[in-house]
Amino acid sequence: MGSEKDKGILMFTFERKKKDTMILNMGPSHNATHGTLRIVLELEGEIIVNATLEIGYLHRGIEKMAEHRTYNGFIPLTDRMNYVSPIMNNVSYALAVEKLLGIEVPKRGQYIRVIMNEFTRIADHLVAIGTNVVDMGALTNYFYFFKERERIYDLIEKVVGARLTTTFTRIGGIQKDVPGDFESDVRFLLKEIPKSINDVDRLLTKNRIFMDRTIDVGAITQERALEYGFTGPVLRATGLQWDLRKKQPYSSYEDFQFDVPIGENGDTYDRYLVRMEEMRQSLRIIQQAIDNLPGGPVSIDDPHITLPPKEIVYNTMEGLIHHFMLIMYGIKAKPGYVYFGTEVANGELGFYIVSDGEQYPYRLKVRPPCFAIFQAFPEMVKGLLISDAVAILGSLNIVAGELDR
Amino acid sequence: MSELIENIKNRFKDKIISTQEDFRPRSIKVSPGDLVEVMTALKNEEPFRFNQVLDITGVDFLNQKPRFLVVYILLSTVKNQRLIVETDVDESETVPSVTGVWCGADWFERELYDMFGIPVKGHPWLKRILMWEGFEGHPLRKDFPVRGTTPREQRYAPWDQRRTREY
Repeated sequence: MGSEKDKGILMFTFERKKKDTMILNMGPSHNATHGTLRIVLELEGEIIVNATLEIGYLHRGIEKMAEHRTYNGFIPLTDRMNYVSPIMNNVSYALAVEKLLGIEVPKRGQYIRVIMNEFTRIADHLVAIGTNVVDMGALTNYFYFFKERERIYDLIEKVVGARLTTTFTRIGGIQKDVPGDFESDVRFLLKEIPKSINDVDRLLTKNRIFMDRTIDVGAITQERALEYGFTGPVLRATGLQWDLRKKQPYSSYEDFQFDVPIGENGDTYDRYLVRMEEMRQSLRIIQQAIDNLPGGPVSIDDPHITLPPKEIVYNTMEGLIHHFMLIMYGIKAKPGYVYFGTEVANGELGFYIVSDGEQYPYRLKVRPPCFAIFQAFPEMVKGLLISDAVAILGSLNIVAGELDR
Repeated sequence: MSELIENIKNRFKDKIISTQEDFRPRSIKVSPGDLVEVMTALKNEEPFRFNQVLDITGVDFLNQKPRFLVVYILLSTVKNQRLIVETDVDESETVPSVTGVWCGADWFERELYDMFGIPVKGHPWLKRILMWEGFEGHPLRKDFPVRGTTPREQRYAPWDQRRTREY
């Protein structure tokens, strides 16, 4: 390893691995980087010798802000982490705090969370695959997928009131019950989404060009993947059957029948196949959840944790006091810590929360799945071409908002 | 006592300073000097097999000695179990790097250094990761202000000496 340090026009220090190589800068704003992240490639001809990554362009200090916000007040910030699937972040965070408080949401709330969670997982995979193949030059699939994504976002808008900045959950439940035509909307989507998935399946899976561009590109062995801290579809593509929804069920996932698809080689093609199958499995989960959707409340009935209904706030003294106490002082958790990880679209999203008994978390750490995955990028692209690097970057589904927090 | 903690206590004996079973996942505390040895055993030996380090982070207990708590969140996909390993570090001290045990610890340790200013001994390339080169201060320390960029002065809420809070 050469130790020549460059800090010229690139404005940051990196080490050249070889002499007389060409430096190519990708990003922070580049067509193939979804979000602002930067890759400096060291090239010998067109072969990548080394890649140096620079992240942090989207760092907004979410963890610092969390220390000065109430537990409910942090939920809007979780939307801004993985902006492709915000609802999964909301659910994941709410589950972590509920674990800290030692409470459990009623069944109906859990089922609605599962339905919305799985729809967001589908939306995330649609974007991941869609943009990945766009980077490789296939634009049609993108439109097939974004039609469905738009429909999912319409449903989210109907349920939550916002498309992207959802703030779907509250500690102890969800913001409000679903609208009356929720069930028919979900059933409509269950009918429509498989059509687009099958269309893209027919277009891509046996496509010669796509296979040439992706098979054996960016392959990583299972041992290396585990050591790097990979989770989610990228780990499952290497052949390990590891899904937290199965292994450590949360939010009633143990009630549903679904399979965990795995790949074989851990290359870009396998990641694509795993994501495609996961979408079908998510539809299976939604089908079961909507068929067995229980009645009852969606949030727990504890005035120290969830806001009382408006009739009670307006008409009783206790309701008014509880309302104001919760807004002004927030939820108090007893001193302790918790780490809770859930299976989001990219892998395991975990929240490590330390409480000192106040209404603010003393420390909140987000464990983003991309962070562990992206650090293996230099190893994956070594010896490949620039166009392969673009394909691999898309298949890892790096979301910069989550990477940098 | 759970089986995991019992196994760990039998295996490492007096290297374990304390254990915590009230919260999930369970945690053990070791001294920074024993960290790499304990981690290597936790990764490779049979009843543990913690083959993934999911996260490395710190907690700043301002005005306490030792000041920082460094937290390693481990996961075993073989045994389907989790464990948190904690170690106490004071301001002038360093933690040993566990990149030799799990290569994935690399970026997490860089983030630990970036956010808390805890130097990681033996790390291959210890540089800031989220903040830019030349940034002053370490943002997640409790004496770093929420607004502004550099720690100008320490501002405490008068009734709470443990954290800075701006109004």
